[in-house]
Amino acid sequence: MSDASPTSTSPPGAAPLLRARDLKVHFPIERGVLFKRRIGSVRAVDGISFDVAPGETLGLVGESGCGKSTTARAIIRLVQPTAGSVEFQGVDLATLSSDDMREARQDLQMIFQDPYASLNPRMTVLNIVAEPLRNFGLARGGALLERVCELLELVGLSATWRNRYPHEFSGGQRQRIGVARALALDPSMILCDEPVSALDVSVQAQVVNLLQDLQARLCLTYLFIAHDLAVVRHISDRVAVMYLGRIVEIAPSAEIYAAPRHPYTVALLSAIPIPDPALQRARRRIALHGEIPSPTKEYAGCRFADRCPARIARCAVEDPPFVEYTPGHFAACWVTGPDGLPEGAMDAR
Amino acid sequence: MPDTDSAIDAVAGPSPVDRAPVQGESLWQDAWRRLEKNRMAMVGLVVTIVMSLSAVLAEVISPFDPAVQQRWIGALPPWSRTLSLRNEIRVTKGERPLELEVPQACADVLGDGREHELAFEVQEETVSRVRVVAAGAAIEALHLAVPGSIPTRPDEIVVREGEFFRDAATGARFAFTELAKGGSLPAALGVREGRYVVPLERVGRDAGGAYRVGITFAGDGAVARIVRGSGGAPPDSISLMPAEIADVTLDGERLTHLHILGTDQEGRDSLSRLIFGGRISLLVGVTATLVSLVIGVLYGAIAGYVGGRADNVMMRIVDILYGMPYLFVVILMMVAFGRSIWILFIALGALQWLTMARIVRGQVLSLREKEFVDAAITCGTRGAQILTRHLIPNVLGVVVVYMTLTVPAVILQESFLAFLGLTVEWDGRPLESWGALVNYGREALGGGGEFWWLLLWPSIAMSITLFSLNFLGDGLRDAFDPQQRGRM
Repeated sequence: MSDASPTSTSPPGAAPLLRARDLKVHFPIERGVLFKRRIGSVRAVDGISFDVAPGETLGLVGESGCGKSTTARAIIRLVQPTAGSVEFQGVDLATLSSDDMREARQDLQMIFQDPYASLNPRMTVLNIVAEPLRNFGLARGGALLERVCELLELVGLSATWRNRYPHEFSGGQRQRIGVARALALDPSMILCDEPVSALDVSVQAQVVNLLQDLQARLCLTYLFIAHDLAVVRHISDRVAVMYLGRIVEIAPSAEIYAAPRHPYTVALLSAIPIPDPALQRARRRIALHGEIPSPTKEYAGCRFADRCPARIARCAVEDPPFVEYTPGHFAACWVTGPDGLPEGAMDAR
Repeated sequence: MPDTDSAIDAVAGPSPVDRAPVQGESLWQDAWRRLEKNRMAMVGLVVTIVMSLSAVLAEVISPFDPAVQQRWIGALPPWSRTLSLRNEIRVTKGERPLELEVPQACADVLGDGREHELAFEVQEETVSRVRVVAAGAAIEALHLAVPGSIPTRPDEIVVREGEFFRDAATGARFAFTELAKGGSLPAALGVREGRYVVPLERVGRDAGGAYRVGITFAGDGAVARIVRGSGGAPPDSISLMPAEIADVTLDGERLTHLHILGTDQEGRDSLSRLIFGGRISLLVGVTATLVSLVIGVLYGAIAGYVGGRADNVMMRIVDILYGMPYLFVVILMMVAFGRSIWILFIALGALQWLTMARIVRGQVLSLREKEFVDAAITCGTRGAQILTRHLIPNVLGVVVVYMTLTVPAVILQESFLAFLGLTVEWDGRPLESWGALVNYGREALGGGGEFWWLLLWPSIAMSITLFSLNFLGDGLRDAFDPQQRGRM
């Protein structure tokens, strides 16, 4: 019943670079030693659809465990999608053979969350950055060395550090190495899976700025995942908010911060600290009650209903459709109306 | 927007390639730095290296052949001196003469101008021959002393013909043979106080001017003596035809080599046996460990990386093999396929790889969830390369640690087998490891314990080696994973 075809904010007529439609990733829960019975599934990603236009950054936010990272991993096929399609440059990645997928990854790269785990500790920086180039036979010998050095300088590292090992770098530097590796194949799109979550706040800004700078210089498209709305605000053209395997709201960046339509988005925004103690004290934070419900459960209605301060009776029984309220601004909520959430809805409890 | 190339062109300054790179410190170097600080581990490493070197260079450093049996010097306590039997004269019976090189000490004594007695006791029922080669003209007489019972009949002393007996200076042919045939040997040699004395003028000279005397004895218990007169060079070599020599004395004193650790009951040098035994023990330990390394790492890595049902089946196989009583299997294999050392390698290696496979599988299982593996997949690395380039190198630290701890375990197991008498053979010769030496020592100990050194040395050698390897293994574990210190 959901509309399931949100348009992007890209200029009309331009085909989206990435089109995810009704993407689902379910992990089976099995019991038994030899003869495994499937006794249920974890619905990590449960039917999400979005477009990413060339050159834009789509921010994907949500709390831990809501399926953000699984979405990225399903797109690049580090996990196999259970259902749905992921069209990248017009090709459905979800159905490619593993060899074809390997080729497709030349244009679709990923930056990982943990800069301490995403670099092989036994390899030098040179070998780490050179690996994709060697894999696809793009450069060898002196040309390879030269390209790696260029990449290192491009991400703000000294090429003289190329023979050092990852453990000799700080977190921010390591993440830059990860960025250099992702750039090596000259991709058109990079999936950034919480690239700054593991970094110090001061370093976060540097890496985000680097990514923005690279986007401008290399014409990159990002899917930028974060659990922190503040970081996403800085870099994203549009923001999608995920809750329990679903996208609950998608909107241009400025709009989602100015006029959020989904109660969950409102709650998330109220959790962003304001760097002004007076303002911070004055404003009202919306504290969500209850735990994240189990993703193994099946829901008749809205997944957020249990914790939603604005819920109405309908929420628990019927799944809200994904409706476009203003151009490019979609939300899935029974309570929100053409003018946003009704006044005082968030106080309803 | 600029494309990639022009963006890169924008990087200013000289080409970054030309600048000398800073050398990084790999995790191996880091681990070595930590290991260096661990005194016990370094001692263990040094001892291990010394033991390994002695095993590799056993032929060079061992003073004697560990296999030559010389019963007449059997069961000598440590720091005993024995006959001047040099190793290079070891020849099996019937092939060519045993060379007895006269040691310098002996030569000096013989050259002092007084009369000395160099005696060879020949104990053999069969024919033995003593050949004395003396350089120079100083030999006065060769006395053949025959104690009591032996040449009761002089014609039993048969002197064979040969170039020995030609006097090169005069050209006169001196034929003992003829004398023997003529039955007048005692007269020709001269019997004095129960000894046959060969007058020097009867001894032939060879082309080099050396006196050569060839005498063949029949019977046992014959003694040959060289008595030297004043001045001149001593006999430089004395060779004996295949017959067991019981003793060589100079003026009643044995011409000796030092047996630092004594000898065993067969007269084999304990130190040499220890060195060669260490070679067998270490060889078995290292080889079985390498077998287990190759099988275990590959098997474990594949099981861990492939995962799922394949992993399940592979690890159940390991479980089943674990359940087999290894001693029983090894004994059966040795009975069925013979006591070849290869069987031992296979049997012990086939046992050890199980633990290695489990360890590696566990490591790979956790490693493959690491993001760098995802990153490798993302940048197009294929499965086999992920295994060899990313997973296995990261497992190697643990593997090295486990290997270092496996070697002593295998040595101990082999020793146990050898202790039970399951020694292996090579070319029909038994290969006696430390375990076998301990077993021998235990038997030799008997009730009185008078041959204590036969048990003590192999026990000490084995203990030191096992301690060293274990200390080294512990040190390596701490070095590779400093957070693990004190755990595990």
